[in-house]
Amino acid sequence: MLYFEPNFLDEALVLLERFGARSRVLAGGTLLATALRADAADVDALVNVKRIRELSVVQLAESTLRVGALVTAHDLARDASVNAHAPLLAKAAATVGARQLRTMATIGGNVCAGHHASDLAVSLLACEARCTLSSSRDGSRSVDVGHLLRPAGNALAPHELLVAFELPSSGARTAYQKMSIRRAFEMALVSVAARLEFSGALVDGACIALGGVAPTPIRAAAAESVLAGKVLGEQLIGEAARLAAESDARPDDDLRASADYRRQLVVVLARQALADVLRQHRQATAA
Amino acid sequence: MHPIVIRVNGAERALVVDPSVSLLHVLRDELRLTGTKEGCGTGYCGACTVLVDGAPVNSCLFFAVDADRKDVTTIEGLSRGALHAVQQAFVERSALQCGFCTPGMVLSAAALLAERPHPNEEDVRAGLAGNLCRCTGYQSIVRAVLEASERIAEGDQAPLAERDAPIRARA
Repeated sequence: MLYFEPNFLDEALVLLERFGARSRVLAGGTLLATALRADAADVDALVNVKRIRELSVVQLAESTLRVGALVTAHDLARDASVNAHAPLLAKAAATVGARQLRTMATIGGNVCAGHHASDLAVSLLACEARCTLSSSRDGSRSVDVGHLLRPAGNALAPHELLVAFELPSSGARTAYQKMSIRRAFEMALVSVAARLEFSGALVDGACIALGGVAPTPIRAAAAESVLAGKVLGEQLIGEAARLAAESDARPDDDLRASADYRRQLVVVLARQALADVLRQHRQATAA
Repeated sequence: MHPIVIRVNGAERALVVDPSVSLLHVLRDELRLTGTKEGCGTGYCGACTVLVDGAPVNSCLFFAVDADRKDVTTIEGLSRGALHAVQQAFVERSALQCGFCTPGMVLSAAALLAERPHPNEEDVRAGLAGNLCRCTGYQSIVRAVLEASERIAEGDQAPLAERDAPIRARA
């Protein structure tokens, strides 16, 4: 296996072009380590992208927060501009794994791994994030983060590199709720990310994403549309939570939880997340 | 094979490593620093925790090539002359039984206290969530870490008073 440590993005893209599906990108490495140990027969090149400085940058430009693909979960949780402009992402990042894993795990790797309850993918969906994918043959393209998500994988071509996420900065109220078997350090069975904009008392736009209830994280379209243009209150929260569970979620039974239990979790977690959003909105308008 | 230079417990070590090999492997099998333990080998148990540039990582998942030009602290390097306050508190509060998780547990606790010098019980439990102990039930460990934080705050390295201090929540 050949090993490369490119200093510049262009170099990395040339390497991915050359080795394609027989290359692996080393980012956080938390999943790659065990994968390579199990079977490295089809890997010719390991491309360590950590020396490419622009991939670790968080930057605000014209109300868009750009988060490099190599920013770690630990840094997302404590970064001042992420907390100010994309608090939902910071909240979700603080719940990823345990401290040791958060030191290493990157936002790009977490999304590319394709876990259906990835904390970061769920929150990025609710943030309506876009991502920049680059390759030496096609240059850069920007896609909705939802287009990148695939069950247990991602939609990147072998010669493409995920470079950054772009999130709209807004004054939306946000909440992240998850349920796991242990309280700490466990993938969520179900997670709910909510991000609501208000215009006066009315919900101006709602983005709700669900983890653990479909092959990939999904948006809860039915719940979102019932909230739009209405005054958020207990009854509406209950209705949206019920729709999220009954219309939007399509969970399967698996080793960790039954589909029925996951549906019930959606009701509870969506209600908690929306109640949290409502509490924040009331506090802000009372102040 | 790839050349790297790691500063391990303050001393620079030049090595040539397979690019896919773990930092854990290099520490234990190349450098013979066997204080770092391999538990699960998949990043769940925390027995292999070491500090890289002061931050705790699972050394079983951490690529050795990524430690190039970085500072690595293992349990062998935590005490400088005297035991670290966390180690001293573990000894005096019997915060271990078989001891296999202890090196990782101590390093996670030391990193936690460096980042958050005045943790409450919940902070300690969250900070140690990535370190599994199958003997102690965690009570004595949490108590030891809280006491270590008090002693660091007091600048006091003397043995703990002969008292059975309850776990106290602090703001």
